[in-house]
Amino acid sequence: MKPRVLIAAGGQRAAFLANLLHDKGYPVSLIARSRQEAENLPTEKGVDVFYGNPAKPYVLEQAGADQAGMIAAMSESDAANLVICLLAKKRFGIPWTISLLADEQKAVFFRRAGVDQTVCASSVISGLLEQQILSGHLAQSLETGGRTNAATPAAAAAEFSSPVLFQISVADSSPYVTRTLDEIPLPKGSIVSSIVHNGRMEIPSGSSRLFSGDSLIIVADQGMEQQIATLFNLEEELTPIALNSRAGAGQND
Amino acid sequence: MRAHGALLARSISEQGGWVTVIDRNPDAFTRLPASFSGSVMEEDGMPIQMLEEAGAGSARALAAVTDDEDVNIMWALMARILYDIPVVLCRIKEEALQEIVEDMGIECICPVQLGTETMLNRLEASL
Repeated sequence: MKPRVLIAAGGQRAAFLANLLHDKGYPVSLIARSRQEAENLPTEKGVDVFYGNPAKPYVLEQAGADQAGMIAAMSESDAANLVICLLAKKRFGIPWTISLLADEQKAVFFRRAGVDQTVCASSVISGLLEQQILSGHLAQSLETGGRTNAATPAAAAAEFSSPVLFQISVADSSPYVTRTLDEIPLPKGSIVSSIVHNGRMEIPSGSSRLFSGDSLIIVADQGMEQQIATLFNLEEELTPIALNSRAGAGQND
Repeated sequence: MRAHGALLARSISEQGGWVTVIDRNPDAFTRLPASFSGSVMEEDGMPIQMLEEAGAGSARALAAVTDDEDVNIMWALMARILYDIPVVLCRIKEEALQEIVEDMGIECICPVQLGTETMLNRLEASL
């Protein structure tokens, strides 16, 4: 029997999360901010909806906090989310608390105050932006590396082919979830150049561990798409992020 | 800050203490008398480095007296957990929160409770 999940505030996003969890078989209680919101949220049948200020004990109690296994605090106020998690943990004994956080700098503070996990949307986006910029830079440096004096495009292409970048998401079902990079038998000619974990981009080492939800940027020789897709058990075709298209153009410049 | 904070700031200042008042609305500072000799800081969003700038590292006390109980609790916990300020006071309403927050080393003041007690005493005395 899966534990009940309480979702406090968060409006539509909270409703979508509630539906997602409900589809996975979790009993879900959602606390809307007002009766009107409660009536209008796009929640699925089976999701229990309440309304009130989730930073008040009687509201949490009504929503089943005594039996909940986890709570997600999704209000727009970091302060309110902190109080919701404190109440959840210390008054109702809910073992695991997660909070949205607008200010990433408060993440450590939240953890020290007893919140188990924080999610900062802006830090996730900035991590992804950085990843995008980095793959742009890599693509640029790979392109400038593609000078050739070959007489024809075909000869140039044959002379060398530049590496390409792939982005792979590590899902729950990935064979390498919780394994280290060392344990992944990447084909010769490919390498994991970075791992995006919790919105943060890291340069990995052999002992870096992969977790569900991580993204990997892999640099590999052209033509390795299939091998890599097979290695990671991916069904969809891998499309490279960046491809050197200058190999044939060099001789005309 | 409103009336509560302004009165507190003024009183401490009159007694010779150094006070830094923080409020997200600069109009709030107009409540301070001309004779107020402390400092004011306008901020919004409660960024951590702002506490630093306000002198949290060497402060003897912090009093969180906004109208928002949750905000007061967050201020108080930041003062306690990040800066270990010796005396941390927090204006609070909810009894359940009072227990939890006091457990974490913060003194809670509930104006409604105190006011009610005072009134009860007066009523009992005159009835």
